[in-house]
Amino acid sequence: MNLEKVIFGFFIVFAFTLNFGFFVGEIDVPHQHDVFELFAAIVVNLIATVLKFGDRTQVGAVHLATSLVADLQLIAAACIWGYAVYVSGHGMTPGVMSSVVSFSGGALMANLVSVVLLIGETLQLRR
Amino acid sequence: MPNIFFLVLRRMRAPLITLILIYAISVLGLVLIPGEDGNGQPYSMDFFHAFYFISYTATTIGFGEVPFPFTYLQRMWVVVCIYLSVIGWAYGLGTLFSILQDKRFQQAVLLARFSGAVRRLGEPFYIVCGYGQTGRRLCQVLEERGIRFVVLEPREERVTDVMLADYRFDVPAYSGDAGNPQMLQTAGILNPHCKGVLALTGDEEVNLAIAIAAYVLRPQLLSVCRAKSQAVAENMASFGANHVVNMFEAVGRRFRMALHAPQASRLWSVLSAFAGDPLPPLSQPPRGHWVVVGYGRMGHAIRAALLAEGSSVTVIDLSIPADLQAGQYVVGLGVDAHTLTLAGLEQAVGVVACTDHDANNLSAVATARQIRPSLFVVARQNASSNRVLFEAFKPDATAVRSEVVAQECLRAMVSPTLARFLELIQTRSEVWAGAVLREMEALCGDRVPESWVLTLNGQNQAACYALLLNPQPRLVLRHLLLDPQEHTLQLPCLPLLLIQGGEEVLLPPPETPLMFDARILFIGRSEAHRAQEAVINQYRLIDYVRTGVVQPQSWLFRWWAARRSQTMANGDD
Repeated sequence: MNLEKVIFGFFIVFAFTLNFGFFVGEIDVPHQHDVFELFAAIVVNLIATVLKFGDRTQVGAVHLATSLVADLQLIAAACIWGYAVYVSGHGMTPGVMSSVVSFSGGALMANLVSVVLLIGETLQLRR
Repeated sequence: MPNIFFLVLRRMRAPLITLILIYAISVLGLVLIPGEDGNGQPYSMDFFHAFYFISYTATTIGFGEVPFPFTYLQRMWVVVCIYLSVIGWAYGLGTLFSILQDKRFQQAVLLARFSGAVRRLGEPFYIVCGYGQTGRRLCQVLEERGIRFVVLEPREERVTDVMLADYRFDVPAYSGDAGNPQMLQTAGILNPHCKGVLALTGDEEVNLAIAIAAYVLRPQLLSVCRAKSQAVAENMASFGANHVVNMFEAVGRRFRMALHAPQASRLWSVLSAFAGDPLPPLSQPPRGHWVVVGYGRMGHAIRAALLAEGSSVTVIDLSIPADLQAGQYVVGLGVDAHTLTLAGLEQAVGVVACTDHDANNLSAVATARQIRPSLFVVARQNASSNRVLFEAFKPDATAVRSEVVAQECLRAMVSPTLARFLELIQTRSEVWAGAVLREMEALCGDRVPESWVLTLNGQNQAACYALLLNPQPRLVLRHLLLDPQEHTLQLPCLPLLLIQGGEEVLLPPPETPLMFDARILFIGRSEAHRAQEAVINQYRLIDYVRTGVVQPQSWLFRWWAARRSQTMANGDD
């Protein structure tokens, strides 16, 4: 067993599960989507991105790309949330909430690809 | 080739993760710790404000406590955050700077830049391995001819010299072991634009390694290698298409030619010299008794040349030469009158000072001249920085190592036609060579003329047109000697050799008809070269030199000209 592999897998799966946790629920109901969960998802995603730096294989490049996509989508979701609450002053209307959640849904897809890559890579290694 | 950006990111992984964690913990703490608003009501900070606060606190900007003054608990947490973030940033920046200052990292950056510069060259180029005296001289000449090159040199300070040499174009240079095939690949040996490799390092083994690598990687590539000893030269020559320059042999060969045929030898020197240099004078070494000071490799070559031309030789050397009989040599430094007289200087016609020490050479020829002022003096100049001394002393002939090697290299690289011409002149008489020299002097005065080769092939559209599409009137050599601005004037150039259809014509007569794929070697002034390039590339000009009539260009005037010639033809009937 390799500790590096454990940490790597942990963060990728954790980013995916946190993202999923934020995403589930009615799309336009604010109280079903927790702001702490979004925060945690962003942080874990950023860490996962940094962990993928420096891998020069083709799979490594796709890994990094998916993570960058997920970061972009989640940060966009957080920005929309912040804008709605503090700048526009409308608060979390169902419309705003659904766009936040759909952005996180996009990030979820990217994270899913990342997890699939991880699993595929693992299965390729014959034991 | 590692990508520098990802190399940095890879080594920055730990500090970046630390920073992300510190930010996350600080923000989360601020959000979770209860605070009070202006009215003393419980208030808990949101993520946006927490992130805003941490961002400006961590970067030591510090706008104060927003949106409300902090409670004691919050302030305690902020103290922790401040120290955490300072540690995070110090760690991150420290790692970044240590990476950037790492010698190996800087080397990697230089290498990446070098290989990028080579890849972007996009023009034919040569790889020059070794930037010593010879390399420098050759690079200058290549620059004058507008040929690009890449420099590989093991010593770092010489690479800096390349940067400071003020060439007209950017010269990619890198300090690396040229004998390493991987290094040669980085320098672009596999690049389709690469035309040749010049192995000019001082180390013969490295030169041999370059020759082998060039032969294995690109067998068709021109590779010119400098050799010092016969064994290595033969080893290099065994690699197919290589051209080996053995400096001492080259000097010996030229010296023998000068003894044998002074006019042909001068013609050879003029055509080998670099354009714009002063014209080399006629040197006529006399036959008789010679004294050779220094019996190294060059001494061997010169002694052999002298003996072959029927002179007698006494050698002066510090050690007893193994291959000579007693009486053929004198042991000594050769700088004092005693040893020189012992070697028979009183009866000698010439002296050759060819040790590898410039001061000794100068001293030897000075003493010899004092004893016998009428001597023919040949001196070897080792360091190009001593040129002033040798010029002031005015020996009858000077052998400069870097010049000789550079000339030999250039001939091999740039013009096989010129090399062929130089072979052919050795079959001609002295009178013939003298006549060519007189014509050359009439044309270009006291400077070495430029030499160039004109090839009439598919790359020159006007040549194709005049030879294939519209072959009337027939294109003859005379047409190429006319000024395309004014056809009654001659261009300042002289055709030396015409190669076409398997025939080689020395000094071709002007009325020789030209065929497709003809190669003509010219010497003359550079404006003639430019004019000829224009003629073989523009329909209008080639028709003008062929007919002497300015052809109408536009459709209207063509129509008018056709009409007029028609009416004139009708009028004749």
